[in-house]
Amino acid sequence: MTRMTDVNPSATDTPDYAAPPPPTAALSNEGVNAESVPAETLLRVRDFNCWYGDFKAVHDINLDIVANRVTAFIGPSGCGKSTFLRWINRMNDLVPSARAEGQIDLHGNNLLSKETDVVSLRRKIGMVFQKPNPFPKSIYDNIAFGPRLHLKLSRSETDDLVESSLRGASLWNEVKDRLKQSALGLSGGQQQRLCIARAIAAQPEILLMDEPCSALDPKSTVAIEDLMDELKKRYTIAIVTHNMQQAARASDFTAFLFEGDLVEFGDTRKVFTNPENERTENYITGRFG
Amino acid sequence: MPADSNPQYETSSVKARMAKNRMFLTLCLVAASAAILILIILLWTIFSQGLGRLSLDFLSSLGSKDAEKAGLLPPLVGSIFLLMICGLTAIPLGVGTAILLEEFRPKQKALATLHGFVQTNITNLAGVPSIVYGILGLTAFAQFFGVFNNEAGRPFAIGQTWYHQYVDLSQQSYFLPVAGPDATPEPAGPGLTLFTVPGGETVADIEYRPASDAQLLQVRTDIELANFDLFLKIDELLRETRTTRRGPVNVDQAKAEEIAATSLAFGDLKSDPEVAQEVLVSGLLALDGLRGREYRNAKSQITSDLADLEIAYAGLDGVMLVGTEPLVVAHNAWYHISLPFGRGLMAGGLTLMLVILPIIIIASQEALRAVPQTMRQGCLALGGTKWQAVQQVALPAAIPGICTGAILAMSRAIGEAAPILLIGAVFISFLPSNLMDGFSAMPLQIFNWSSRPQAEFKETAAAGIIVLLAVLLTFNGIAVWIRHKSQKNY
Repeated sequence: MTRMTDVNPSATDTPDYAAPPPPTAALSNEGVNAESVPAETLLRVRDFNCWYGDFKAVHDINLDIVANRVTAFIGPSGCGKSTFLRWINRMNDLVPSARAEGQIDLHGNNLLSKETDVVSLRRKIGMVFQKPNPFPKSIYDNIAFGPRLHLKLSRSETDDLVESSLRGASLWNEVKDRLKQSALGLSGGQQQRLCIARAIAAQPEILLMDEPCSALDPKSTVAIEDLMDELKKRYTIAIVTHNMQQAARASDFTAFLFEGDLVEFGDTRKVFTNPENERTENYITGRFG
Repeated sequence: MPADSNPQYETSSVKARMAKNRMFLTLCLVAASAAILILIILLWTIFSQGLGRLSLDFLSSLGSKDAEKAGLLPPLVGSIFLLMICGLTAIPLGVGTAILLEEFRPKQKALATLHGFVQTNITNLAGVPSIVYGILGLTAFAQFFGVFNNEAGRPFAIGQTWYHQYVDLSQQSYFLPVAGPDATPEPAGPGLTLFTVPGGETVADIEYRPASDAQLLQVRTDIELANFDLFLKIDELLRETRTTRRGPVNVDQAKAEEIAATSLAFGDLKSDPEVAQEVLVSGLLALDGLRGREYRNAKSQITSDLADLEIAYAGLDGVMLVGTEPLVVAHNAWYHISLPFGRGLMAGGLTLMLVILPIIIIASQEALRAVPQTMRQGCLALGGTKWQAVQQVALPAAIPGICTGAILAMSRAIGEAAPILLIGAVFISFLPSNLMDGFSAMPLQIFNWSSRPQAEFKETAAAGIIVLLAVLLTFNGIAVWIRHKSQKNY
C-alpha cells in the first residue's frame, strides 16, 4: 500500500481506501456516488416502543433507514433519540430496566427478538459514542481491537486493515508515524476519528453515531462531517445530534423526535425548509428546545 | 485599592482570614512533622540497636539459645514461603471475585439479592480481627473441619515414605522401609535391604555400615537361641551313633543325611532348606570318628556355619537390629502433600490468604469501578463479549489499582503474627522441607526474641525488624515497579 504524503487527507485518502466491502448486496456499489444509488431500505422500524422500568421513553416509531444514506435524529434532550439509537445495536441490553417492543428488521430478521445473537449483531452495527472512548492502548491496537475479537489475522493483514481503516477515517496522515503510541495522547477530534476508524475496522454495515461531535471543536466537527460524507458510500449511517446545522449539512434524512414521539421524518431538505409539522418548525427555528 | 464603601470592614476581615490561614498551615506542619519525627525516632532506635547484629551470618544461620549466634534464616524462609502461598492464592481468587461482583452483576432478582448479600459480607469481612481468621484457618485448612479425622493418621498423603526405626546397642538408628504407618514390624528377613542412618534424624546420607564383631556375636547368639531345639536334636541323634558312652561318633553319608533331615524340622532357619541340609551334612560327615575335645570343636563349627549361612542369607552381616517394637517414622519429600494440611506452611499461608482476601477483593472492585463504563461499551459495541470487555479492556486498565491493593494486602500479611500463631507457627531452628512442615515467621521470631530477659536479644530483635522492613520494602518495590510499568504502557 502506498504511503500518502499529501497534506489534505480527506481528499487524497479515499481512492486508496481498500477495506473489504461489507457482505451485503445493498453495499456492493463501491466507488459510486451515494446520491446516484437508488434508495433501498436497510432497517425497517415498525411500531417501536421502549421503556425504562415504567417510564415509556419512545412511542410507536415507524420509519425506514435507507442504505448508504445518513439519517439524522434530532430533538430536545430526553426525547428518546439516543435511546432509540442504542436499541438498534442492543446496547440498551446493558441497562437492567430497559425493554422494547415492536420491530427493527435487518435483512428480514427482527433484531429485537430474544434469539438475536447480540455479539454478531453489534459486529454488523458499529457505534461511535458521544465522548471519544479510545482504549488505553496504542493507536494500532485500538484499530486492530475489533478485528482481533472476531478474526485470526496475520501480522500483515492486520497492518493493512489498520492502515485502510485509519485512511477511511482520514486519520492516517496524522498518526502514521506514531501508531505504537498511546491513543490517549491524541486530541479530542483525533480521538473521535480514531473511534470511527476503530468502528469501521470491524467492517460493520451500519454505523451508529451518538452525538459524535458534541465534545469537539468546530474544526474537528467539520472534519467528521466531511468524513461522514465519504463513509456513507460504504456504510449506512444513523446519527443523533443536537446541532441543527450539522443535521442540515450532513444528513440525507432527518427524523424529529419530541417527548418520545416521532413528529416528522423525511428528506432533510424538506424537513428543514418546509416542515409539515408546526412543532418541527418551532424546534428547528430555535423557538423552543 | 478599589473603591469600597467600607474599607475598614474589608481589611480586618482579610487580616483575620489570613491569620486563620497561617494558623491552619502551622497546625498541618506540626501534625506532619510530629508524625515524621516519631517515625525517625523509631527507625533510629531500631537501626542503632540492630545494625551491629546485621550480617550475612545473621541471615544465614539457624536459631540459637545464644543471642550472638541466633540467626533469622528459618523465620525468613518461613515468611517468604507464607507470602508466596498467600499471594499466589489470594490474588487470583480476589481479582476473580472482584470481576464476578463488579462486572457480572446478575439481573434476576434472587441472584441480585445474593449478590448484595455477598458484597455486604465481603465488606464486613475486611474489618474482622485477624485472630478470628486464625481460628477459621485452623479449622478449615489445618483440620478440614475434622472430616478426615481417624486413628490411623492422614488418609491422603503423597511424597511420604514410611520406615520402621530400630535402635542398636550403641544408640544407632536403622530404618527399614515399610508399606505404611500401619505395617506390622517384621524382623529382618530375606530380600530386605538394610541400611544405617547416622543420628537417626535424616535419611539424607545413607551409608552401609558393616556390623562390628560384638554385633555379629550378638546375631550368632540370637540365631543359636532361636535354633536351640535343632542343635539339641543333633546332639541327641549323634549320641545314638556311639558304640560306647565316651567313644567316637559314627556318621556315614546316609546317617548324616538322616540326622540333617530330622533335626532341621526342629529348627527355625530362614535360609533355603536344601542349602542348610548340604551345610549340615558336610559338617556331620566331618564329625565321623571324632571324640572328646576334637568332637566338641568340630561340632561348634556346624553351629558357626549355620549361623554364617543365616547371616549371609538374611543380609544381617551389615547391620544388627535390636529391640522388639520398632518406631514408625515417616520421611517426607519436598513435594509431600497430605490432607488435611495439618499445622504447616500450607495452612498458615492459606489462613493469611483469608486475612487479605477481602482487602484484595475490595481494592480490585474499586479499581474496576474506576474504569469508565464507556470503555467497556466501546468493546461491546465492536461485537465483543462481556468477558472480552473485561479481559481486554477493563482488567488491563484496572491493573495499577489492583496492584496497589495487593501491595497493601501483602504488607499486612507479612506483619501478621496472631493467625499463624494459632495455626501453629513455632520458634523452630530448622528449615521447612515441604509445604506441610512446621514453620516459623519473622514477626513471631522477633516477638520471641524481644520477650527474652537477656539484653543481647533486644539487639537481635532489632536486627530482625530491620530485615522485616527490608523484605516489606522489597515486595512493595516490586509491586510499585509493576504498577509503574503497566501505567507507562498507556
